[in-house]
Amino acid sequence: MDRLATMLDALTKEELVGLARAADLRGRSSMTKSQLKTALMDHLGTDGPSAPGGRRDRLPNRCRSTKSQHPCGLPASAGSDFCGLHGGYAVSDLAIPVAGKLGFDTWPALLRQLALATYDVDPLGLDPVVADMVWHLINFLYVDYFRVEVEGIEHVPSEGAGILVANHAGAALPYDGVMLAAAVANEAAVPRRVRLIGTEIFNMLPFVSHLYRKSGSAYAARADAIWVLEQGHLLGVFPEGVAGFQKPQDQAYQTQRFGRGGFVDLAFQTGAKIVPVAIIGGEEVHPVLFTSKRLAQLVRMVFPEQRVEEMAVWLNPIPLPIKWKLKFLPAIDVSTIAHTDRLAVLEISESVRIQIQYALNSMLGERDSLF
Amino acid sequence: MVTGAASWIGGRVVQELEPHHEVIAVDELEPRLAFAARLHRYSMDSLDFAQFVVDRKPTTVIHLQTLDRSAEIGATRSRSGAVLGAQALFGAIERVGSVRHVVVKSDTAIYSTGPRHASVLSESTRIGGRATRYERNLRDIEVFVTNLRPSMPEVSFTVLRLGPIFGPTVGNPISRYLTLPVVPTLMGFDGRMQLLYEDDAVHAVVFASQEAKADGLFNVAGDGMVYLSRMLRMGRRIGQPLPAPLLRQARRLLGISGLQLPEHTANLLKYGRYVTTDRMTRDLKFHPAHTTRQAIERTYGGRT
Repeated sequence: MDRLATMLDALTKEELVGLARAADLRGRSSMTKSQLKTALMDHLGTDGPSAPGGRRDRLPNRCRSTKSQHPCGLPASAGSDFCGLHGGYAVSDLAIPVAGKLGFDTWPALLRQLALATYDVDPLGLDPVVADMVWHLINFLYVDYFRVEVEGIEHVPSEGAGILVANHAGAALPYDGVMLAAAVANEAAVPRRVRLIGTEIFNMLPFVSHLYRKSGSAYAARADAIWVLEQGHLLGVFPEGVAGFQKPQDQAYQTQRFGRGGFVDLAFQTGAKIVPVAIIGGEEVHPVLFTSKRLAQLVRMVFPEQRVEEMAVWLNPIPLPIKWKLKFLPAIDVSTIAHTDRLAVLEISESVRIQIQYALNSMLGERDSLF
Repeated sequence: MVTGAASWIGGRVVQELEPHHEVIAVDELEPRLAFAARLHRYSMDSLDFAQFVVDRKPTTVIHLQTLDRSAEIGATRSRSGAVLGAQALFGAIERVGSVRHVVVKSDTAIYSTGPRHASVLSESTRIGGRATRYERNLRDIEVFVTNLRPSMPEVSFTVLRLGPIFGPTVGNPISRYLTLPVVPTLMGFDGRMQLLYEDDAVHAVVFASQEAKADGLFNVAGDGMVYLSRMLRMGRRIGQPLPAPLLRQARRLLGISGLQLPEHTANLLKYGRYVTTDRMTRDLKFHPAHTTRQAIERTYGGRT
């Protein structure tokens, strides 16, 4: 035990967080160094000294479902004898299993679940098995490639409806949305699923059209967003939309207009809490060389319904391994706000934008390297 | 009075109602199912038919012929025959004054499908956007009902938006297409399917015609949603994804051999649709006996 303590003392905070991630400790990103040490001592002390090797060393418990004649074969979720599918979890709300428990070794079991088709998908089209298969790749990006650092995760509500509002960037692929969902699933005290909503382009593109739905996202229609919030799930929105996504490099981290403030309207209607999120890293993954109106015209010729004004042209086919940082800001409870009229919608929307911009500026000031 | 009695659903509804009620069956085609009541052969978009309604003074009208018949009779006929038929029928209902209850079979296709449609549709969803001929016809027919409603407060109008009817005997294009041994699908797309088992469709219409208080507009569909790819897997059918041009050719060949897949159904298989049925269970108090999953299992179990 003492050896373990001295061993942990010698490590930096980042290394401790890494260990905590391997041990799947909840709330690790908001812990101080000494808290991390105690939590790790508790965890490793019970498992024996072989545990620091992390997830690869320990055989996970297998699900003990007897629903079908074949054994389920999926890893059981923490503190349970069953996997995410058979444990009676609200799979549209909770991302289970998460964080390191899913590797390619679980794919045969997942593929069999897919073929057996005994579970149900929800009306928006979330297929928990496909979501878990996609999760493996996302988690690689999250942990090893973008090395995401998270601050203020405690502001994400542990239960009930919430709207995560973030700044948008990326030019090529919406990595920021994926990282936002991964952060909540990986770091929050309750690993919840963030139901992201996107434009109709996702519905139009082959393969994307159903994979994005199956992995838990939805089309940005009012009815869909209200459905998500009324079920008490988390909704992830990027109010800047395509204007934020396709902006030139000299406007990097300058939040664009927040549309018509639809997310505030949704919060008024459903009583959901608004959590502003500032995301650093998305702008440099595909550095934008220039934006082109001609290219946007071409896109509109192929997808006549797409309302894109300018298309960004970027340099690199492979995303750069930028170090990301996500900062969750204190939640806004709209029920405490005196006015709930049209003007209040615009005021709150603008104040959320300013909060995010302020957080972005201070985070950019603290950042000393892109990588 | 039952219009569209020659169709599968019309025949089933007449069979269910016959033992307890006097049924006037109307259609212009040969009936698909046999029933005891006499079938009056009228083309609905003619004034003869309107006069017939006025003469017979029905108390309840079940309007099932909302799919226009140009596909069966030949393209020489007007493509909006269903709308003209509904116009004649509703005109006659207003004139005759004996009618107390009208049940109209609509279709959830009225919402149409596309990349810019919400994923969860309810009765209060605003209907709009691009639509195929059938979907436009449905919209026009429902507009007749909304226009007629305030001027006839003594009549209760029940509009049933039935989900895609699926079953082993109904023989509609979607059921026939999806029970083929090899089903050509569009590569890269996987529609969200919410189905209504054939028996439930019949029971919904019969139930609504018995219930005097069933005034309003209702989505009727089975619980739950199943992706097209999984549905085919459940039925042990081979889903063959094809790129759009090849799929068009495959569907053209199927069309020549007698299985024409309408455009609105093709769109449904591409994007899918889900409707909320809260109003059906709460206000209409109708509960389909089969969920979507059970409808699929029973259909493929019944015809393999």
